[in-house]
Amino acid sequence: MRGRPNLYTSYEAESQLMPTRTKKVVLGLFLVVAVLMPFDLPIIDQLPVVRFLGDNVWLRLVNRALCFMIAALGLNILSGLAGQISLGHTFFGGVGAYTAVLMGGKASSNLWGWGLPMWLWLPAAGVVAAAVGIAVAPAAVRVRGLYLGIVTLGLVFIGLHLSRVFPEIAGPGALGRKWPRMELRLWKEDEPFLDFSRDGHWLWFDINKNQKTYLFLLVVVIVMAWMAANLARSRTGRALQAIRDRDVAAEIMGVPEYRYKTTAFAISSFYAGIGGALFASLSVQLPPEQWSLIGAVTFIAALLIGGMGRVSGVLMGSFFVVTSHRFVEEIVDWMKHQAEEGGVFSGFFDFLISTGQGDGGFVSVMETALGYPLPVSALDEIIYGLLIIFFLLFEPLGLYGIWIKIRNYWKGWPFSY
Amino acid sequence: MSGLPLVLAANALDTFVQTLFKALALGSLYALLALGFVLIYKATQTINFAQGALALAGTWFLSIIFMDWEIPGRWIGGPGWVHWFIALLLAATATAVLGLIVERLTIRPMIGEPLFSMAVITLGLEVVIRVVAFDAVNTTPRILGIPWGAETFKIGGAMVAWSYIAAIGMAGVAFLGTWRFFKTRTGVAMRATAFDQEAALAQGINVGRVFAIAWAAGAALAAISGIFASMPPWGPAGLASRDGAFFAFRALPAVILGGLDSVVGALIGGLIIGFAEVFAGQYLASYTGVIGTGYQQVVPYVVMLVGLLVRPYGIFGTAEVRRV
Amino acid sequence: MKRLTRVLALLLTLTMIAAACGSDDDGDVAPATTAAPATTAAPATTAAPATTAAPTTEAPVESLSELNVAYFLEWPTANQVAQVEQTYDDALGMTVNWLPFGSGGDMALAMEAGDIDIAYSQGLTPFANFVTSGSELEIVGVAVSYADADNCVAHPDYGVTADNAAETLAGQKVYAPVGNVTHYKLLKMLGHLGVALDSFEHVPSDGGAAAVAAFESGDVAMACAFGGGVLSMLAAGGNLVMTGSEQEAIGIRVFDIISIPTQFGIDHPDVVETFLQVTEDANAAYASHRGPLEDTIAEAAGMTVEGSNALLDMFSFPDRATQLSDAWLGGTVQDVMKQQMDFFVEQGEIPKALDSYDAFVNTTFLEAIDDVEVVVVPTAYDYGVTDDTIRIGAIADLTGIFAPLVIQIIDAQTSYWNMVNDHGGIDGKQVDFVVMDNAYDVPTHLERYEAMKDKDSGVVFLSQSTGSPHTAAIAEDLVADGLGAIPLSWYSGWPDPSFGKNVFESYTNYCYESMNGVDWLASNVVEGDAKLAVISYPGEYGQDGATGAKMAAEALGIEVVYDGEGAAIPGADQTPVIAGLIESGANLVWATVGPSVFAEIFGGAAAQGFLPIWSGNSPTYNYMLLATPLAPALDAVYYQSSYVLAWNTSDAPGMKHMVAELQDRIPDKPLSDVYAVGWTEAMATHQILETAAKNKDMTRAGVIAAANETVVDYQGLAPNQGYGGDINDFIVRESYIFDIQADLFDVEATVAGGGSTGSVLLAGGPIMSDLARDHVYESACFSAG
Repeated sequence: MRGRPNLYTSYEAESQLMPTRTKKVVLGLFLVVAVLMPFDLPIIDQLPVVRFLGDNVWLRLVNRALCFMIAALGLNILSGLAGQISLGHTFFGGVGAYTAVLMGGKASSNLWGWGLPMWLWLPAAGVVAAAVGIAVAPAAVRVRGLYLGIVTLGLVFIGLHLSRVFPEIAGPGALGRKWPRMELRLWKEDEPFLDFSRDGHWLWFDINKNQKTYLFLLVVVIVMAWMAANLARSRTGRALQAIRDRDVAAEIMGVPEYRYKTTAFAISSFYAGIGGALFASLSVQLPPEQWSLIGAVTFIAALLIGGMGRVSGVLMGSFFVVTSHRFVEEIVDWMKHQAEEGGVFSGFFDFLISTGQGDGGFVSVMETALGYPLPVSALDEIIYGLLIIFFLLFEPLGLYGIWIKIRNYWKGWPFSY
Repeated sequence: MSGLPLVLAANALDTFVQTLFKALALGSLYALLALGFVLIYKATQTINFAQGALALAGTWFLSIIFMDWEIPGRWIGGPGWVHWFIALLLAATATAVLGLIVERLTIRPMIGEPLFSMAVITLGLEVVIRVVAFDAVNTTPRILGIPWGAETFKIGGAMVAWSYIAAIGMAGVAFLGTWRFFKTRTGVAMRATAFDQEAALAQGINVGRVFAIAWAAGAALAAISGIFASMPPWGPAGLASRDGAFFAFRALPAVILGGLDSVVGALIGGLIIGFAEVFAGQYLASYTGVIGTGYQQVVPYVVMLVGLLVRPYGIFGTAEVRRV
Repeated sequence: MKRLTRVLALLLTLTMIAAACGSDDDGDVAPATTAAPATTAAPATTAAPATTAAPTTEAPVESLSELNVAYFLEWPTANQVAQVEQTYDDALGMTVNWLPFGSGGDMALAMEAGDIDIAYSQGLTPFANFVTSGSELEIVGVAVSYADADNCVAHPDYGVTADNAAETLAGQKVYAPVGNVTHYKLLKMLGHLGVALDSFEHVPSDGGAAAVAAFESGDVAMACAFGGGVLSMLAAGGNLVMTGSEQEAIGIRVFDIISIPTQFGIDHPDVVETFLQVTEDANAAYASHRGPLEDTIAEAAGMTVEGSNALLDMFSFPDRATQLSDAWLGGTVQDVMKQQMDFFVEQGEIPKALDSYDAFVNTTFLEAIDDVEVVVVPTAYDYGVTDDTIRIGAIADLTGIFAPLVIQIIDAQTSYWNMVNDHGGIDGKQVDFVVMDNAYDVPTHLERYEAMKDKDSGVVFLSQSTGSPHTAAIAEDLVADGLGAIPLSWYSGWPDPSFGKNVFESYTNYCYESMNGVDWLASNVVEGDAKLAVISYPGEYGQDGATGAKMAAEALGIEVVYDGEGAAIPGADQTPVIAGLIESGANLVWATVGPSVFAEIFGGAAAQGFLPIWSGNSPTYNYMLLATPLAPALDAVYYQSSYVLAWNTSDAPGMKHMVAELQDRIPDKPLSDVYAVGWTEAMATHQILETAAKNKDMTRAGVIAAANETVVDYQGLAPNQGYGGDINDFIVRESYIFDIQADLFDVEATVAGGGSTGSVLLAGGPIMSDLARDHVYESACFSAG
């Protein structure tokens, strides 16, 4: 019946991804906005945040966030659904990326590369990463909790070591090699029929490479997010959640623990592989040191800030983690302009900000400031760390939890008490 | 330096003795770091990813206290190395206070939340403390004023650096102190809290105070191990260096191998990993063609993995009792 | 009888004519005492001159088929473009012969003899001398005004300066021309300085080249010349006793004129007017856009482009309106002539001067020609440049692993740009230096690049791009967007255009640096046969340096006892490397790593008693290690190699200038060897942009073109660097080697004190091994694939 959102008359209706009409409409609108965002359209210009996200500079960042989202979705399946702590997610991303470059890259005197088209290397990246996940699983499933976390951390170092043993695949240390571009070709011809990595012309308008890449990645993210959401409500998903909640009980009920944990590793590695390959292709050239501890930690942070276990939470958390530095920079920049141009709060900001030697303040806008006052770049990092802490202190469910609270408030409004 | 020209180790026995001392020293450093991790884990059930940043902060405190403010040299006389040790204690205390603040503000409110969340809070802390410490440890060299510098002494034909002896000694003191501490009332209280928080609370133990002590001790140990890992002939060569923030992560395999909640495990695990790394580095150096260069970075993790396959909770760790 | 008389009269006339024509001897004092009437050359052939100026005068004179113009060699003037391109010939409809002369006096004599019709850029003084003694010549225009380009240069060995001239010149020889403005200046200057004119021996000069030769022989204490001669003498170490501006301040005005025999002006006024018109056009073209004309002028003057430009910078070519003004032909020129002649009378050089020289200035021709408006070509620009600002970008690692060093490099660059702005900026525009952080992360670098290349808010050039993989990632985009960048990386692949076409590297590369270092140390420091150990990071930095070291070992026949290429892993324990080193028993180690890994390996090996000679590529060493207990060992065995001078290690003008400026601007910052890196990056960018400004093209493409033609002069901070032409010609092959002296280094020192980072330059300057010198560069030493 309409108007009674929590009334479900069939099992299928309840387990639908978008059970209510509102959800469907909102999702639709959101998709429309997302597709139109990079283009300079009058409607888009009215929307506050979206408007500048479509800028060329921000778009690159958004593209990076999209690749991150793909890998984070994988980690969500492993950690959020199956409850296995993994700090080695970047390792699987690296595996995917190096598979991609081996299959799709250009060969030369010191490097291996087979020059295959993207429709081969992209899925292969995922599949090979999944295979490695399955290979690692036997050791990983026997260990639990933080022990597992550190074991997976060891994978990162093993991966780094392997990249040095195989510079033919990874390129020389600290320099790396060039990744194949995001373009669709049939086989090995020179001109791709659809190229996402160069500026071009579609239908009746000009489109630059960042916009093209954005649309491509958006499609990939939507597909993979949909797959992940579906996984959660499928039989496998329920098994994984059972293992997360009480694995002994699950085993007793007939959920084979080791088999499903291996499945979880495989699927999450598949996602990581795809995400890693796309990220590497986006970044054009990466050194082997890129796949490091810091990245692993960032994934965990993204998951926790966004809200573990929920696809929308993962997406929000990834977006936040990747773009927060730049937001903080913009805010400090804005504060600096306010202080200079005598905006409403200029006195206050002037007090906070120091523009150089001799000007007092807590934060300096000189990039090369050292010591006290803090340089802007340090402030970005500090705020980022503080945000992680605050989120977890005050909202352990993360951004998703905040969203739920807001939604519930408005759901019951004006009776929100 | 004990003077030029120097004589190289003449034979295999001397090389072995040199390697032995280096392994003991590295193992001691790892053991100190592992002890810090273990104490914090025992009390608050979380792994503290900010140990490295606290270690860096400790080196910075020492440099400020000993070199810039010249404490306690400006007040009391006596040989320089006594001053240095006093300054070391002061720096450790300062870092302990930092640990206390951190614990009070961020860890205490999180009791009861899933342990993974707490671990990530420490990640956030790591970023904050590291960035501030990086900013403080800026481009001017921050000298730590190590009393024995890079000097060595001879045992037979082998040359051993005083820094190694100092690290071994420090680890010994720390472990003895911890063992003694666990026999005191507060120590017993901590063990009880580690075992079962609720029961300890019921017994009237001030669990909050236990947490505070654990974090303070963990931070102090981090500072001490950071300072001792900065001496020559280790990399930073007597300066507070940004690399110090990442040294602590090298000790994680030792923590896991020994068992996250076992003090004895921290010692044994640290020593095993240290020995493995140094001896593999020394004696497998000629096989880099086969195993690849940089293998010494993965040796700790390989040893850890092997250990975990045998005993999934670490050698001395308590197996988790899983209930239906 | 009547017949005989006629023959005799004819013979006598002919003899007199011959005597008059043949009486030119050069370099003599004072004009000829016989007042020989100036006759015009009288070629018989007729050719209708195509004139554009006023109609011919009454006298029916034959039209000219040739025009003879006198000019000076090694004297670049704007109209030489028209000379070379034969614009004069086309405008006049006749062949123009340009005949070089050594002095203005010779020009005057030739005019009297009828060999020369127009003298361009004749000195005022010889003209005045000749007309005083009766020559019928007249001034029709002012050619060039110059103060600094005609001067006296003192020889360094004699130590003559303005203060001590009176004593130091006594009894010495002074080499100077006679009877021209140089002579006049010399006498006036010495009079002002209180030098008695009989206290020295005045050796008459034959002109520029002779003066330079006399100077270089060392026989003369001072030599006076004009044009290129002055520059050559200054370059050879001489000093100006008084600068041009100082001389102008005491009333010495220096300029050259355009003169003609008076009769010629009567006979062929249209020719004179056309000549002046073409000259005026050429001057206007020069004034509006000098850049493209420089090569032509230099070639016509028979000088190098640099020499010609140096003189042109000191010249100005007044336009018609200025020439006709009171400051010039409206009265001042006549007054100056009178003053000079009176002065010479006082000195006893000539018997008497005329009462007035007004008769010898004829402005009718100039008045008849048209004014040519000088259209100043504006500088073209597209992105990154506006009317008032130039935006230069740097994507630097401000928070990542190289942050401490890069921050210092950026500080030095920022100081340089502040200095440039204080001195008026570039092409009148202020420099806006935009620094963005890439945290040593490639994706972040790409995002920052996106901002830098933006058409609205982007930059015109990147004066720094930190990191090899980062720069490699944007290398293709740089070409697509037409932007150039200077990398903060010295990988030997950057000069290769297929690797980095719009990447403009600085100094030499790791590979050549290793070659030079190993070669020099093995030959000069190591006792006996060298046994080399090579250790390096894996990757393009480490392995590039290691490859260079191994190439040197092979070329010199040195045994490589330990090959640790790629064996030193940052962040890992270095025991394997130390073990390998000690076992090898090397006596020379070349390390291509970073400071903390180096400290661990060096310290760890030293702790086990291993102390051979150590050195390594520039990034391996950091002077801060002298604050550690390793300092004595470093002092004893470490030699620092670098591609740019370490802090305060030389008196080169570039180093002194940098130290002085940094002391002004960042006095409280600590000492560092890397300030020079940032400073030279900015110098290179500055010179490239100046070239672009001179070419009036500051579009991005124009800046790239300018970069490819600029040869950057680092003024001794590093070897000069070019980017155009054959790689093997412009690639830099020299590096520097330093000894470490720990007691020179003070931990507390700041920039304000100058001081030292403990490095002492060896070998007196840059070193270059035979291997590096002869190496034919085809691609990077270490191929990255």
